[in-house]
Amino acid sequence: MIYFPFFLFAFSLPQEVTEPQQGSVQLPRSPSLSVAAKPFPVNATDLAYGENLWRETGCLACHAPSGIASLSTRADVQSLAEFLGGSPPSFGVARSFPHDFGLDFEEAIALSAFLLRSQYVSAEEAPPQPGLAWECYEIQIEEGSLPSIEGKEPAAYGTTDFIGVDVRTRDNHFLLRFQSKLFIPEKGDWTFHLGSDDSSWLWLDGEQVIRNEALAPMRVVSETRNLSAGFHLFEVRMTEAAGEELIELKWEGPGFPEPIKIPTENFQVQREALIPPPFTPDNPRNLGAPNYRAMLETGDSVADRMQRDGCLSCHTRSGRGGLPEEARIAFVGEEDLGFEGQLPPSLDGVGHRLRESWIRGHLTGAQRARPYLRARCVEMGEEEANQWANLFADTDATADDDKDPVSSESSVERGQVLAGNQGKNCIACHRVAGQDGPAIQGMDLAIQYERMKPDWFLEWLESPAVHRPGTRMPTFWPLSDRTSQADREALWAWTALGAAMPLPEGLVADADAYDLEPGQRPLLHGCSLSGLSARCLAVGTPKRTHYAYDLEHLQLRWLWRGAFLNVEGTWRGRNLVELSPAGMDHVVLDSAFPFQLPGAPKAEPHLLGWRLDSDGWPLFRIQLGDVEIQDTMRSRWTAGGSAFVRTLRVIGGAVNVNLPAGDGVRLTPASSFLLQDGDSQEVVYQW
Amino acid sequence: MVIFALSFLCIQNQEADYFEVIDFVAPEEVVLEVGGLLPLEDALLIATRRGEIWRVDDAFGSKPIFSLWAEGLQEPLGLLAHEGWIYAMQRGELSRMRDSSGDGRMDDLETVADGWHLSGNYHEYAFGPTLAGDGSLWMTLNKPFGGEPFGRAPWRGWALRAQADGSWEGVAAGLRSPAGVRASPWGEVFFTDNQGEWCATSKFTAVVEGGFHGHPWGIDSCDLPSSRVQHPGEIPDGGTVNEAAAAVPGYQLPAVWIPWDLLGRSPSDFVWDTDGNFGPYRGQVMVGDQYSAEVFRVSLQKVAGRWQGACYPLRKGLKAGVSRLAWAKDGSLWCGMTTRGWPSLGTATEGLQRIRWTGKTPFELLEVRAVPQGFQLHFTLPVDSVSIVLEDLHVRSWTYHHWSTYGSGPVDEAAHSVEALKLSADGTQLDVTLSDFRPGFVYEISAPGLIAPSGQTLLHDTAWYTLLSIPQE
Repeated sequence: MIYFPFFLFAFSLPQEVTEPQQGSVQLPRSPSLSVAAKPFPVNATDLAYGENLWRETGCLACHAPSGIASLSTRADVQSLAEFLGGSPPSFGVARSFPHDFGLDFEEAIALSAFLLRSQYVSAEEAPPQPGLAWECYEIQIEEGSLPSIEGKEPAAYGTTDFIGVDVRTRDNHFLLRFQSKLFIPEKGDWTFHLGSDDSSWLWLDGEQVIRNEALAPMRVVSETRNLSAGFHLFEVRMTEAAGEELIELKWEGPGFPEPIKIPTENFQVQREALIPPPFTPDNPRNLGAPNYRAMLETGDSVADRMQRDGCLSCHTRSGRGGLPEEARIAFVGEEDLGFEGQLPPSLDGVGHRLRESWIRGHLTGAQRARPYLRARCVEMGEEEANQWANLFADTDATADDDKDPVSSESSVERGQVLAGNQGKNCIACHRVAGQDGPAIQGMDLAIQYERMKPDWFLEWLESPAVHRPGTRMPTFWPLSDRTSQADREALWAWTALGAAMPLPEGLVADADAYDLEPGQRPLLHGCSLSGLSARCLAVGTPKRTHYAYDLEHLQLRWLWRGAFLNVEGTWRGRNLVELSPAGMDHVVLDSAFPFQLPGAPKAEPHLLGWRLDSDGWPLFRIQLGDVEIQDTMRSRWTAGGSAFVRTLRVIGGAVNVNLPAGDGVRLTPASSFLLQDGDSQEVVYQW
Repeated sequence: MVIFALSFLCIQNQEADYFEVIDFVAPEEVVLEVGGLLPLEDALLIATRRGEIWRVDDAFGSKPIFSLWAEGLQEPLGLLAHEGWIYAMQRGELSRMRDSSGDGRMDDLETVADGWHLSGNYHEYAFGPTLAGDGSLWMTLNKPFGGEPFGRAPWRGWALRAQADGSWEGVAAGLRSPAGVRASPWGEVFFTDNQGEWCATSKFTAVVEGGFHGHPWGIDSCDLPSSRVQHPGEIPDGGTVNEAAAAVPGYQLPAVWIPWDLLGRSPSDFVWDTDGNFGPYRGQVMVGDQYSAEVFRVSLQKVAGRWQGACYPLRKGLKAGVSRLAWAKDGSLWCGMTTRGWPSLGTATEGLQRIRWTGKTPFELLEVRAVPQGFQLHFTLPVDSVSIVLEDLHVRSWTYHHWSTYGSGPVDEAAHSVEALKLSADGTQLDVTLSDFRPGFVYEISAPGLIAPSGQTLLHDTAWYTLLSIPQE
């Protein structure tokens, strides 16, 4: 957990503060911050997290496991984190790291903190800093009065900028304690407003000033004390039994006529931190040019180019490259998948194995097939990704290797059986459309149509061990079995449905975890949906292809495939939480209202209701002026996935229809048309 | 000394001797968080907070048969059969439904009324509908609570009245969490409200058209065209409810204050016993409580043109907080339960039970009525005159704060001395003359020493009467 965002240091703190200036200051400041460098608060958890990132995300492919010792004299946390995170350089660093590994802010900070760990100074040795020390005790709270913490160990502790419940380790039955020195900028009457749900207490210089005891929703108790200028010992505790929890402290006094939160600078605490050496014009920050292991290759083969760009630091191709031993040991992932679950794959023949579009998407970071690999592959721009994808395709592809074998409905069914636990039991090691399997969570089968070329899919299934010695993938069919080609093609036909693939035997939705899965009929769930409205109807269909209708704005808004919904947000506890789709391929259609009366003044649409046909498919009825619009959706499987067929019908007059699209959604035959009274029109949604 | 001796002779009795609770076992896969209960001629419909409507056949048998009649509704909290349709109140709309194909599943849902909008807060519950005497349908809308995540929707904390064509108007404002709304046998609509901010303690009261019932959250909607309520202006935060009633235009004091924790905490649905299903309590109102897992009673009296009355304990010990009530055709009372989202007594979190009168009449305070000089206490059985002792009848009164704080304790509390007691010749009516009889106060009347000639003590010895006005005659 990172406690201090940069900006607090970068912009709000003076480098040298002596005494607060009486009278003239708007926001009084603590006088104690006479530190030359900017300490960065850390704790052991941050450093351990950073070390894990260092070992596991792939740094060891190029760097020594111990880190880069000289960095501690050349960088501070924020400049190094910006460098690693690819932010525009600002702290005197002229360039950023040449590879974008998609580190987020928190990761870049933690990794930097680990690399600079020799700058560590413990709390006892550290100069005072703005903030408060906190402790969280996990104790059973049954009443409003102050429980004793005598002899108890806190479940967690640290330092923080503000008093709040976000540092709690659990939601019920806890006590939070905040301790600090409070700087009073001016002698006078200071009023403290302490609000909490449930109880809270405030002490100043050891005297109990506020006792706000009740097992009740938020309530505020205010007390005034005449205080001298300077530091006062400060402590606040709060307890929470169950339900909502909240604590808020405000003050008012000379210079603070309105109650506000006490500024962080007015609290002073010693906190452990990384303190860099002072950087001066003579000793600037210095993140120098990288010293790559091998940039000597001059050839122009694919492997030569991969080596130049660093790809062969992890991957192998044409017998070259691969990881150093210490990195192989450090890399982690899904242990049960063996080396395939931990190490980046070989890229031999990758242009024959994978579709060009998938390689492109992988390289930009838009889609990744192995979420369990902790090692990160680089993320590059569209243009560069495209060049690589073209290069692999040109070099490796064979004639017609992306041509689908002929399939039928019955082969889909056969494939579904083979994938299940009554067949070849693919689900034992693979996820299916975002759903975890019973044992090992290997690569999701729903993405394979988009990812693999059909020829390679069939070759791979026929003899995995030949293509990848040591693989965990079983050889399901003896080479002599001449009928097995039909089985593999059936698996391909089933795989080709993408996330709309029917669930194989052996995978069940977890009703205890609030997962809804449609059966033979469409399944309806009325709920609040994220980004739409609090009045929506989500419809799950047996083809594992789903949609959501916003009943507040009378529009079809979401399409998705795979798992339908996890409805914990509607069905658990009291809080109504907006839901998001559970599955994959989620698209949001634009929100423009699609129906208009030709030439007529704008009419307000109204919901007339919805009907269900004998199979349970809903038909929505919308009134616009004197016209009734009937809107129904049916899902169907198509080559390479599934589609919705939307049927619109109008009764009582003509309607101009202008159906909004969404990212990657194709509407055929048309999205705009005029419907005459009594007419209906089918529109196919593909995405 | 006499009393001491008598207490030895007292017969201990308990609620279960008079009102038995009969359990109901639902199939394991059904989560019966009851939002609506509708007994039909041949079956029972149950709406759940999960958005389903179950049809239950053989509901009185040991293995009731469940079939899913509808799904996909948004937390329906009320059911009504009307003109061949099944009406349900969803969060965002009043709907009516039918099974037009006759295959046992709802296939046609019509939106009857909507347009009050949701901000997405969990507490935006919608209750109803109930059919008023004039054929209109009434609904009540909760105000949001516990954080306001998505904005501020209009009409929150209102009672709405819809006509058959779906048009609706805001009839009364200032409600907080009106978890029960029902038309009385004479067609006038009543509601219960739950204690919280601006609601000192829970209430049972009539919806007063154009009235402001105290909670300022939704009063901006008074300025919308569909409002029938004059904007009450600035609502003072503090003072007593009586001061608020004097200062705020349209302010409505409730017919019955239900003192917090003395009688439940969170009242919900209620039904009138018009048929004498519960024996002596014919004409009274049975009210469920979502916290205390009990059903209690309310009696009403019209004084100076306004309803006022009293509340009394009846039966505790249901298995969870009671959300919905409905009379079964055998005269027992279906009690639908759900406690998801709030604390409750009892052993379960949801389900269904029935309360059945055993046919025995308990010795009880049947009704408290106000008279010019005090109260008239009516009893279900004659009182033994020997047990009547002036000092043993305790009368206290208090009022409440009207403020933004969550709930209020008693304010301006006073103990009243009883000046005279007079027992009627048949022993069932006791006239209590009080000194200092104050309108606008809740009166707690407690008579622990009374016994019936058979030696029975009162099953419950306390009632609470809300004295809005003192009758003139």
